[in-house]
Parts: sequence; C-alpha cells; structure tokens
Amino acid sequence: MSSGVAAPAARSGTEAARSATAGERIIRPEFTGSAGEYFRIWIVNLFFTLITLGIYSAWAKVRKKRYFYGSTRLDGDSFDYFASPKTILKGRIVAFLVFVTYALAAELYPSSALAFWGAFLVILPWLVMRALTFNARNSAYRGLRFDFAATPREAVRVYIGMPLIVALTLGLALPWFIARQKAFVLSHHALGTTRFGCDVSAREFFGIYILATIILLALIVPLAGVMGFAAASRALPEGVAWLGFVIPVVLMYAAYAVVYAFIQARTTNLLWNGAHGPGIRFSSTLAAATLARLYIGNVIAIAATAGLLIPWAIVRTLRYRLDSMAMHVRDEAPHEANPALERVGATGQELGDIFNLDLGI
Amino acid sequence: MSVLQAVYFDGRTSRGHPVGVMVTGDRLKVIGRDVNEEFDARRVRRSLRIANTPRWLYLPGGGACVTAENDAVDRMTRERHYEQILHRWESRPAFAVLAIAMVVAALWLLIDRVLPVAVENLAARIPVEAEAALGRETLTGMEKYFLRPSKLPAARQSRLRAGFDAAARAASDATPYRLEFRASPAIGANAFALPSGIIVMTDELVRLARNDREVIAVLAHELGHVHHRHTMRRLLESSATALIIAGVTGDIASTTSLAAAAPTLLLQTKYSRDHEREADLYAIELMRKSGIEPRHFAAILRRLEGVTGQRRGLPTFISSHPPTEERAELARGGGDVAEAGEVDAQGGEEATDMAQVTTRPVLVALDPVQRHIVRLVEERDFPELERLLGGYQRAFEADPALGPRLENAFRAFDKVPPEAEQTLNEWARQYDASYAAAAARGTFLYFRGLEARGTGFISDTPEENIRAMQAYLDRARSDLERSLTLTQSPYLSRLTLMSIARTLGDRRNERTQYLDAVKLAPQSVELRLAHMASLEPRWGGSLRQMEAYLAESRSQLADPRAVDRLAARIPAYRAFERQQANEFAQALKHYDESIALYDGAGTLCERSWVLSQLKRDAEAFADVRLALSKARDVRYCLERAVSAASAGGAAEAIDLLSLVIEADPSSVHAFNQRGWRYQQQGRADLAFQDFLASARLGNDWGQLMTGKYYWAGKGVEEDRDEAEAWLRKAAAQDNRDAKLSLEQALAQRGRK
Repeated sequence: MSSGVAAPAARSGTEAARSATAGERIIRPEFTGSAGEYFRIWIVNLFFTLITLGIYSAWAKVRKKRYFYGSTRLDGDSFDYFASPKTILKGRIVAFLVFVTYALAAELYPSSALAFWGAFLVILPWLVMRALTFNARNSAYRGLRFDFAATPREAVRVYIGMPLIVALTLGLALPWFIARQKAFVLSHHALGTTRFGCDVSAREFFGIYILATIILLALIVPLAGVMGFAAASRALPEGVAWLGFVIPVVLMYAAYAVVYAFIQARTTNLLWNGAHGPGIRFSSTLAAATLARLYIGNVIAIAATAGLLIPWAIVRTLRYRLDSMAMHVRDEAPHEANPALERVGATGQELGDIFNLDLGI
Repeated sequence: MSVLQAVYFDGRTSRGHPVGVMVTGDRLKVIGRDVNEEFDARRVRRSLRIANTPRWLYLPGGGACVTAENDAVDRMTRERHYEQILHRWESRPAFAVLAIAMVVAALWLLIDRVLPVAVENLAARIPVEAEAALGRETLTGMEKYFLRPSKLPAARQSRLRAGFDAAARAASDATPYRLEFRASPAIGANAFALPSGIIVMTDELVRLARNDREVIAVLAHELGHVHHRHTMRRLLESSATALIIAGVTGDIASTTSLAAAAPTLLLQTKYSRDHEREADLYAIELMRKSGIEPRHFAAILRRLEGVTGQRRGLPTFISSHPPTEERAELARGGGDVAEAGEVDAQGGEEATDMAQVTTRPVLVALDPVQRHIVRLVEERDFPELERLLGGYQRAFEADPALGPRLENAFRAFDKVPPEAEQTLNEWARQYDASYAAAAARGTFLYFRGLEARGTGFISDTPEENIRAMQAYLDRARSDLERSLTLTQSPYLSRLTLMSIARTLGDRRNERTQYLDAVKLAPQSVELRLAHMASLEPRWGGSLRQMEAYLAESRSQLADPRAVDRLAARIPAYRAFERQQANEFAQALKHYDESIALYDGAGTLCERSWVLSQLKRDAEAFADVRLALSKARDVRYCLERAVSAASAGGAAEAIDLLSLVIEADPSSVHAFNQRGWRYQQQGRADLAFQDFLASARLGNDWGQLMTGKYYWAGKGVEEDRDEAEAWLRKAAAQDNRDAKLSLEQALAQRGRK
C-alpha cells in the first residue's frame, strides 16, 4: 500500500524493448476488480435507473466510476472519484431538456436542426473544456486532484479551427486532426502541479489511417463479391432466406470491428508512447489482432446473452488495455498539490455525454 | 478498541504514510512513524462502499486516509441506510439474479406499458399543425426521388376520393387528411401516411386492387395512422428509445456500436408493428361502420404480399409489419359481426353500399310544378313545356317579383335523369328560337357539370374531373349565352352564367353578368346570394368584400327578410372556415349566428354535422329534421339525415328516414337504416318491405336481410326458395355473411 513497492519485471520481449532504459522503474497498472463484481453493480444500477426513469443514472454513474477507479491500481494505489451525483443529475436534466427540444424541433422543422448543430458547434469547445475539467477535478490519485487546464483560445483552435480545416480538405486532414485533438486532451491534464505532455507526429497517424483503409477494402471487396454471388444464385431455401439478409450485415460488422480495433490499437499506442511528465514516460503495446478478437467476442457474447455479458465485456476489454500499459519512472520525487483548484459544475460533462460525443482518450 | 491499517496522504504531496487509525469518542486519531494527527470524527467524511474497492476517509483540512478494511470502516462510522441496502444488493449473487428478473420486468413495463401510453398522450397534446412543415418537406423529398405524377384517370381518382370520403362520413370519421395520388415505379404498390395527415397512394396499388373497396380498405388503414398520430408517436418513440438504449448500454456504446444499434432496431420495429396493428383495427372498424366488408382488407393485404414479397421470410421480430396471416385473420374476425342464420341483426350495424354512395342520386321532384315539368320532359311534350316555361318567363318579364317562381320551375332540370339530354337536344332543335328550350338545356348542362366535378373540395378534385366539368359548363355557357339573345329579360340565364363563371374562376365575367342581371331583378334574393357566394374568400373574394356588398344590398333591398338571408352568409362562411380547421366549437358559434338570421336548410345541415362532431347527436338530429321540413332537394341534407338517423329513438328516426326515401327513393342507406329501425321496433312486416326495396336496388345487405326474412318467415310468408334466391344474389356480391347463411341454408335444406 505504500509507494515503495517494486514493479514486477517486464513480461515480454516487446515491452522489454521500450523499457530497457537504465535507471527506470517500470510500473504496470493493475485491475483488481472482476466481471462478477461489476455485473452485480451494473445490474443494480440498471434496475434503479429504470424504475426511477433515469434519475438514478447520476448515482449509477458515480458508483460505476468509483468501482473502476477504485479497482485500478497504479504503483499499489488506486484512483478515487468523488463527483457529486446531484451535480451530475442537474447536468443530465439540462442535457435531457436540450436533447428533447432538439429532437422535437429537428424532426418537426428539419431545417432547425442546422441551427441547433450550428449553436452546438460554437459551444463545443466550452462543453469539451467543462467536461474534461469536471472529470479531472473529481478524480484523484494519492490524495491529489487531477486537473485539466487549457485556455479557451486553445480549445477553440482545436475544436473549431481544426475541424474547419478538415472540412476544407474534404476530410483528408482527419488523421492530423485526431492526432492533434488527442494530444491536446492528454497534454493539458495534470496531477496536482505535475503537467503531462504528449508528442505525437501526425504523419504516423496518417500512416495508420491509410493502412486501415487498405485493410477495410481488402476485407469488404471480396465480401461484397460473395454477397453479390449469393444474391444472384438465390442459394438459400425459403425458410432461412432471412439469413441472406442477416449474414452479410454480420460480416460487414466484423470487418468494421477489425478495422476499428486496428485504429484503436495503433493510435492508442502512438499516443501513450508519446506521453510524458517530469521524470515519467508511458508505453502502450496494444495488439490490433487481440483487440479485434476481444471486440468481436464481446459482440457475440452480448448478443447471445441479450446484454447480460456487457459488464464482462467491459471488464475484460479494460483489463487488456491496462495490461498493455506501463509507466516508466526515472524521477521518484512526489507530486505537489495545485492550491488553486476550485469546484466546477457538471453541466459540460453531461451535455457532452448525451449528444454522444466521445470525449474519452 | 480496534486499529485500522491505512495509508495517509496529507493532500499537499503524493507521498503516502503507512498509519493506524483509531476512533475514540468524537476523536479520530491518525498515527504513524512520522504522522500524529487528531481530527473531529464527526467532520470526517467516508467514501461510499462499493464492492471491495479501497475506502477513503476524507479528513478536515484536505488530507485523506485510504484503507482496504471496509468492514472496520463500516463499524467505526455510521452508515446511511440506503448505502447498506445498495451494498448488500451489489454484493450477493442471489440479489443479482433477482435484479435481472426485475430489470427484465421493468424494461417490459417501460417499453410495453409506460412508454406507449405516455407517447400516445403526449402526441395527442401536440397540435397536428406542428407537423405541417415536416409533412411538406417529406412529400417534397419523396417527390424528388420516388414519386411521379399520378397517371390514373381523373375520373377514377375522383371516384376513389368520393368513395373514401363517403366511407369515412358513414363511419362518422372526421380525421382530417389530404389524399395524394402518385405513381411510383420505385416503391411499387404501396400507400403511406406522412406527417400532418398526408396520405400518399401509388397508382401501382390502385392497379393491384380488384375493386374500389380494396383501395378504400388501404386508405382506411392509412387514415388509422393519421388518426392515431403515428408519425408523431414514432418520432417520440424513437427519441425515447434512444434514451432507454443509452441508459441500458450507455457505457458500452462507444466500444461496440452494434450492441446499441441492434436493440434500437428491435424496439423501433416493435413499435412499428404495434402501429400497424392499431391502424389495421382502425381500418376494420371504419369499414364495418361504413358497411364495407373487412375481407376486402384481407384480400388486398394478400395481394400486396404476393407482389412485393419483400418481407417474405423475415422473422417477425425484425419486420416492421405484423405477419400478413395475422393481419388477414384480424380482418376476417373483424367481419364477423352478424351471425349467419340468425335474423336479428347486431346492434348498430348499418350496411351501406359503396357503389351507391358514389353516384349522385336523381331526386324526386316533390314540388308540383317541378314534378309536372319532369313528367313533360319524360313524355317529350315540347309544346306543353314551351307553354309552361315560356309562361313563367313572360310572367317574370311582366313582373320581376315573380322571379322565384321562374327559378323554381327551372330547378326541375336538376331532377331529370341524365338520359334526358337527348330529349332536351331534340327540343332545342325543334324550337331553335325558343328561350325556354335554350335556357332549359343550359340549366340541365350546368347541373351535369356540377355532378362531373364530384363532391370533394376543389383542391382535392382531380384534374380530369375538373376538365369534364369544364366541358359541361362550356356547353352550358354557350346555350345560356345564345339564350341571352332570345329574350329581353334573360335574368335566369344570367343567374346561372354567374354561377358558371364563379365555378370557373372567372370573377370579372361573374361581375359583368351580375351587373346586367341586377338591373333585370333588383329585388331578387337568389341573385344576390349567388353574387355573395362569389365574394367568399374561397372564390377569390374576402370577408371585407362580403361585408361591403351586404351594406350595399341593405340599402337596395326592400324586404328585411331578404337582407337577413344575405347577412346570414357571412357567419356561415366563418363557420365553414372554422370547420375546415376542425374547430367545431367555434364553427358551431358562427352557425348559430347565421341560423339566427336565417334558418336555411343547407346551413341547418352543416350545423347538424358540426353538432354530431361534437357528439351532440340529439341536436344534430333536430337540425336535420327541421332542414328536411324546409327543403328536400339539398342532397347534402339527405345524406346527413341518414347519418343523423343512426342516433335517437326508432320512431323519430323512421319519420326522418321516410322523408329521405320520399325525396330519394333510390337511397339504399335510407332503406337499410329504416328497415333496421323497424326491426328494432318489432315491426317485421315493415322492416321486410324496406329490406326488399334495398335488395331490389341491388344492395347486398338488403338482399341478405330479405333472404333471412323469407327463410324465417318473418314479416312475410316463409318461402325458402325465395330466401335461397336472395341469399344467392347477396353472396354473388361477395357478401361474406350471405355466403355463410347460404351455406347453412343449403345444408339444412339438404338434410330435409
């Protein structure tokens, strides 16, 4: 339970390659929870959320986050999450009202959707900042709060300026934007006064996305050929004709999952391998094939159990992600608290949640 | 006293200190190698217990202790009750199993019970007008990609429109809708309800249907969607579904989007199937009420399945529609209202026949002068017609106050059968300088033109109907214009020419005719009413023009009653507008105002309809009866009377229906309705006479009832041969009850 515990030795060759620097202590995060434990929390959360028509979801969220934070150990100590469910609930109510207004207005007056999205894009940087700040400041490690500190100017540059460039280049600049955006989020986090940084080259992101496109085409083109052939030959008997509709959808999805896993694995590795703090660096060794197997296995398991294995899927994916991460510490000096931290409202986080903005990194 | 093993962080740095924590009374002590602190125990906050994650004690001043000894923390500090419950639930497998069952139950309750009801109530509160923009954009969008202008002959379109209108009216259905015919090679045979009550029907579907009733069945189904606000509900349901799915799968949506997409699809198709079932039920109910057999619905469903085949083999849970088998079964069940072989009809059953509804009945001329003229036309007695009608014209020329008698005489040409056209041609040829002959044929052609147009609103009337009407009106106009040269005082011709000009939208011509006519008969009410009509906003005028004209007439008309009649048109028009907007209470107020000024038959019947929309059936009935006592040649009033007669007592209904039958002896509705009312009274002989009349007019329900009466010897001497003959006729019209009765009758006779 103290900070003096030595890390286990590196387990595989690939890790050894990155961890060989002399004088570094390698710390691996560890997940101490279990799928069974999380299942029980999840099902109770779900039940109360349903019977309270969603009101309990704020408490559910805090319990869930506390469980994952508390079950994740880094160097022997776990993380802590202490956001107030009431604050989250207020945010959710605002978000819900905005969502309902948006849904109704956009459906009834389709042109008003444009106005909504216009307004949304304008306040997006603010929302992102609020969400990240709220989450960071309500998270702690070893009694110190995290923080997210970016200037509004930087946020506007990343969330309005860069998407404009992406639009102007007809999406070709997307990998560059994603690299910059992820690096922006990571590098503006801090633990106490310890600031993190992230050096990522956009060129490598382009490489990943080009490769991903090639993989996608390599999977989809033969699949489309087979489907076309099957459709033309009407090979299926009457009773199972619906399979002709379902199987291609499933295969398409599998192809999508493989490419998605590839992008996730490669970009996460790049990002964490470029992340650093004073006397600290990180490494990540996710394997695309393993992640793809995980994703596809998750979907099959979830579909087969009508969702009951969702907690299991979440836990095993998280465990694999944590297992692939390592922190390399050269300078063992303790981190200092940031005396300037104040409380922040939860609205930003919740608006981001309900509009399905994936703000995670 | 127990000591808790913990790690202490002072909140200033990340350095941890192994410590022991003790609570003595109000004091909490934290003691370690280089730590020795004491705190007010009441101000120490403790983190929630979740599974076996480490617990935090947040100390006053910003420090914190973390420990793995959860149970010791619980003992040491007081726990709130709900936390204990939550933790207990979350830690025991048995509770987890119970929670699964409860989640399933809660989900089912939410999805199957709470949400649909909530959405239905909410949708009912949102005005239809809110959908107007959406409806417009959807239709425009579809027209861009899938829909082409309809190639159906306009006559067919108008017949379908009129048929459906009549069916909806017979079922007392006032759901506002707008029917659009479109061709769609891309979509094929289909019909759909768009937001704001637009119903689109494809030419392909009309071609697929074997008869109009099948088309009407599909339209009734779509009207069900409109009535139940399914587009709005669908919208609300999809939003709610998205929220539920986000709640259930929230934390996994980002990793596996299919996990969220699949249940969304399943839920939405479930709601879609529920809507289809609801619309099916609605259609069957509407058909039943308007006397169309639900089996037509089953028939078109099967035929649709046959051609599209798109849903063939898709399992129910991912299909947007219920299985056709199930729907057809529903339609079969829905048709089962009258038990075969049993004479007593089920309550409230009012059988009507579509084909009869759509043709404009030839009214009996009840007025003695008109009756005489109709007979003269029938007998081709041209000299007598010349003498009589010429006489009325000359009398008017001598004294313009006799105008109403002239008008009345010429209204006889609305009551001559369509075949009379040849007779009138012959008359005009033989007497080519006769004003009466030219004006008579012009008047006759004008009425034929009105018939060709149909009964719908101008915006609903198909192009081809309008063209047919224009052809008649052009011929009418040339007759009437020729007649202008044949007399000094062609008042009547100008009056009809005004109506023609108004109908064709030629306002300038209407005004010219009026200015000439008003010189001939300055005191004529009919003339001023006709001109007032052309000043209505729907003909391009405005309420201000109507008011101005009223003021002008007030100074010119000698008879205050005539002024009131004219004045009554203004509130009547306001009522018409409110009625169009479905604001029935408002419409009623305006009608009351209009009727206070002048209680004309037409306005009374309009008010009667509004009253029945407001479920004030007794008053609706009274209005129609009053209207019929004033005039019996307003076709709308006769139709209205048959509907109104379904409410109220049998005796007064019978009186009212008798008035209708006298004016329109071909109204099978009136006969069926009156027969049924006699049956209610137990007067089987009279009931039989009515059913027989309906049967002879070719109505299948009348034939069925006649057959049953003969079979049972009710109201007539038992005659099983006659019974079988009538049942056969009804069965030949595909009347399902008749088929069953016939089968049963044949079986019984076979056994003898």
